[in-house]
Amino acid sequence: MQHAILQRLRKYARTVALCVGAAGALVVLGGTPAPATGAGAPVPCADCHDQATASFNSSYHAKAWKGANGCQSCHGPTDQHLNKEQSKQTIISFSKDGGRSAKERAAQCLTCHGSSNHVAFWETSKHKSAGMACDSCHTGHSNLPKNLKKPQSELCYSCHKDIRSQANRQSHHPIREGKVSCSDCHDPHGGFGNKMIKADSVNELCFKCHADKRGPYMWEHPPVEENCMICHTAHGSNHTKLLTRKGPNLCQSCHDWTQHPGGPYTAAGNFTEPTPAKQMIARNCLNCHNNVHGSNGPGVRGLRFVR
Amino acid sequence: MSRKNQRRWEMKKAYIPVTAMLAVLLPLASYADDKSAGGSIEVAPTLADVSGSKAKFNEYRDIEDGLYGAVRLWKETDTFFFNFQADDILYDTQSYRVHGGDYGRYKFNLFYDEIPHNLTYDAKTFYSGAGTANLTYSGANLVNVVPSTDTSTWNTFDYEVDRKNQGAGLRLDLLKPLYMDVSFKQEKREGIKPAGLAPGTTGGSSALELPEPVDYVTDNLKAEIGYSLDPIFASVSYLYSKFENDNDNLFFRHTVSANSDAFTLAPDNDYYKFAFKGGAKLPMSSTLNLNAGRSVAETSVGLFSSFLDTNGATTTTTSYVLSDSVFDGKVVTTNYDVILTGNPLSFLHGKLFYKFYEKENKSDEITHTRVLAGLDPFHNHLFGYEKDTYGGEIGIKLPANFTLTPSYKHVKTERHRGDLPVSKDDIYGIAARWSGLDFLTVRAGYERLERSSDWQQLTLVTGTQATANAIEPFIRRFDAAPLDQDTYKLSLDISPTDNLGIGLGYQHKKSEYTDTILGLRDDETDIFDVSADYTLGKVTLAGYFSYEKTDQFQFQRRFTSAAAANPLTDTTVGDGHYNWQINEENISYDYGLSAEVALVPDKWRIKAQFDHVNSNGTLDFTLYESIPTDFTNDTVDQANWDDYRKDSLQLKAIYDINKNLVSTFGYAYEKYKYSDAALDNYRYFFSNTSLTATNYLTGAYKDQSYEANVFFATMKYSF
Repeated sequence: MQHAILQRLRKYARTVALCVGAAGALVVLGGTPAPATGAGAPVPCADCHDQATASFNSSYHAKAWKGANGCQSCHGPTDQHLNKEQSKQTIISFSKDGGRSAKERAAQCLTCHGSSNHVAFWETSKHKSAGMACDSCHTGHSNLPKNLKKPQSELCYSCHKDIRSQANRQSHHPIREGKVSCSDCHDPHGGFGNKMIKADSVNELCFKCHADKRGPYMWEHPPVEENCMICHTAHGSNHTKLLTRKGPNLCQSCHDWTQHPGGPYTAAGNFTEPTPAKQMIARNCLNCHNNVHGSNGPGVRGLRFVR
Repeated sequence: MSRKNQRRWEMKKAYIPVTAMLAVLLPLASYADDKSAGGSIEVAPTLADVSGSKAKFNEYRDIEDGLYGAVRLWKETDTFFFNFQADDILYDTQSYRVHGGDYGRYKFNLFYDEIPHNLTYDAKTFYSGAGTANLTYSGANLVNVVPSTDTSTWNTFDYEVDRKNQGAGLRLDLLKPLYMDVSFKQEKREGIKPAGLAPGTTGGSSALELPEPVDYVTDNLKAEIGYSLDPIFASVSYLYSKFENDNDNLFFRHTVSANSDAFTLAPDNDYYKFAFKGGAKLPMSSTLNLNAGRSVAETSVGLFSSFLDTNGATTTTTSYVLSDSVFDGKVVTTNYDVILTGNPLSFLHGKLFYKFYEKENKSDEITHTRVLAGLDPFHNHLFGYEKDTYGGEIGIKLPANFTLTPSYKHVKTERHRGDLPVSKDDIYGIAARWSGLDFLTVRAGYERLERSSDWQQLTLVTGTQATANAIEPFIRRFDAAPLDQDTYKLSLDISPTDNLGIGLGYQHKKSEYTDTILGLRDDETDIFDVSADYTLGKVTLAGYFSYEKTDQFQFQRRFTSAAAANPLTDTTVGDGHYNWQINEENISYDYGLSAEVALVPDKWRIKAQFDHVNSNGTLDFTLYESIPTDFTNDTVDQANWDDYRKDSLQLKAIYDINKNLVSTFGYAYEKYKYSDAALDNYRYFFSNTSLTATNYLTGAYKDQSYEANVFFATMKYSF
């Protein structure tokens, strides 16, 4: 008990030490920090658009445009807007009712970012085909990473609502926990992979994190080698291991044979019964055929993925 | 001290990357002009009371009693920037990240990040050595013997796997438009996961669940050099990945022998890939985009030539003469993509694409000759495939802000596989979008997939070919089976006012496996979702609701000999050969509501969030004969098929003490209730019809329900 308390005290002490160290580091780094200022917003804009200029001043773009005429860099010349007609149509507006097409809005961003390798394949993007532009996801007024309008997963869910539901399910990649993000697997700016994945094939993408499944194995399970998505779903599932269906039904969808592969595993095989069916309970087929992703096991034991 | 806490205290190593990051950054930063710098320190004392499965509650988290801490430091000048962020310091979810650089010249990053994956705590086994590659037990062999009816005497261990990622990256833009990007990442995975095997003669004997050690290290190195200046882009890249498993095999004392047998584990492998990507803008607002890549995955594994087997209460050894004692695996993939896009007229844009993907299997073919006379030799089948994909789409802008996009895609797949070696997909689609009103966008889409496949009689690697000849003509495996699939989508985005947004969506997908007699025949999904957000003065409200219903129909045959395999001509009742079917239904829905109220602007805020997730699965069986004793076709159904519900509530009061100091007081409640026919009333051991084959389990995924109350406070000081 005393030992446990001591351990906990040591843990707190370490945390405090780290915090103090961090503060000390800052002193070394910066001395007296100067307040962050946004130099990009010219006074005439702030007179009417105080909230917009305030958000801009705290944005990454404001830092990039220090010393320049920030607003006009993206919104274009403002003479007509200031002197004649103060409508959204007299500047380059990114509002829905601003009267600018997706192509025009994207072109404004690409004036500076057009040579970025990150958008080199924007023309191939499904997002582009769907009529989206840069400002569908980004805003020049953001202080979030990548100038996103919202935190990444929330942003993606605003259109891909079914994915949020899947990510909420009991078996899921840790998207909700913030350990995996949409852009770890997908490139929203386009590319060559199906579903804009960051790989030439699904398996290549999955093996980036699941290298233990890469093999190559002596005894292979063909659907596993062709496409992980035949049995798994990427974002979340009601079934453990992100399976599209629960075993043994999933396995029996392909495997019908004499004796046990072709048997019905019903409530008569549950734990509640005197002789539960091992093909039904616990991890069902995996209770024996654990190495379904491939095996180097001996003879028929390897062939059947039980060793 | 528990193993978990012990490990935490061993994580002092975490200080090493942190120290390294700061050591690198401080000198760099000191050269920069002093324009602005800042940071924050956050501490969060937390009290967590969890009843039930702590593992499921903390599946990817590490919430417990303790003091959580986060630190952020940043510094910026006209040219130089850096950011240091540390979260969940010393916990299993801790992460430390640094990024910085000189705008437009170079960027660098370093990181250390941990992701736990907790499956089940306090699993049990009669083996000793859980977590190692050698499992053993003392005393007599287990045949006909249950080691102890008191599983409290068994050894306990936790099913959990922790990932520790660390790495660094550097991007150089000093010679624009040339750039270079180099990154390295190492992932260590440690822990235990469940494994299962059949120690007996046939699949019908018994199952043995074992704790499998996970001690993986994967090193990834990526380098890319490119040229990027509008209208040309080109890059070449190289990726090298090395996977090492400390344990080649899991050795375990056989249940019917004093000898050990082996279960093979994930093999070490090397992977490398060269790739080229290029793009060019062409006349008439068109672009040409190219991608080419070639990768190689290799492994080399020593093979076992025998395994232990059971014959009742005794063991036998099944031995083979192998054509090679080492398996050298090699898989080569080749990929080419060409995409041509164009926007020749203001109202027309289009895309044409072609993709070639090939997976060649150049692994060893190992011939197994069984020592026992009279059985034919067999060898592993080398699977590979080739896929050709081409198609296009045309986007047509019509009057009244209406856009129509018809599309077509053809996919031909040739597989080195016996039953369905070639399949061809024709996918026709049309998407429509209307945004005629500023406050409304409507999207609708339809897609039709028609898959044809050439079926061939499967030739077995080993086994009874007569059985294959009898049953295979009725089986079409769904991954490549002939298929008609229709998908409909509809969505509306409505924003009648600036402070109100509503989204509605509906999807319907129906898949019909047209040639399948045995196997999955129909699959249907309906999804409906809605979300809304509303801001009124000091109040922001948001909510979502999603509903999904899936139905699958599966038809199967139970039979014991090739002569009784035909599901279409079975007229004999009561012979034990019969057809059966499942109608599987899963209904899932989830909803969430959140509210944020600024009680006193710039001083007091309250945030509340509630989420509910619910899933209900059922299996409706119909057995055409041989209904188990004491059951009927109505009672053999499974009512709980991964059923669960989860309620989560989080309340937070945020008080801005002053410009630099923010405090939060919060409470979180989470209740998860899980029920599943395969896990309810769990038993660690049970026998088949006779005690000659006892199944031994360890409790993986057992009892996942939990209820948790968490109180927390945070104090964040920004400077």
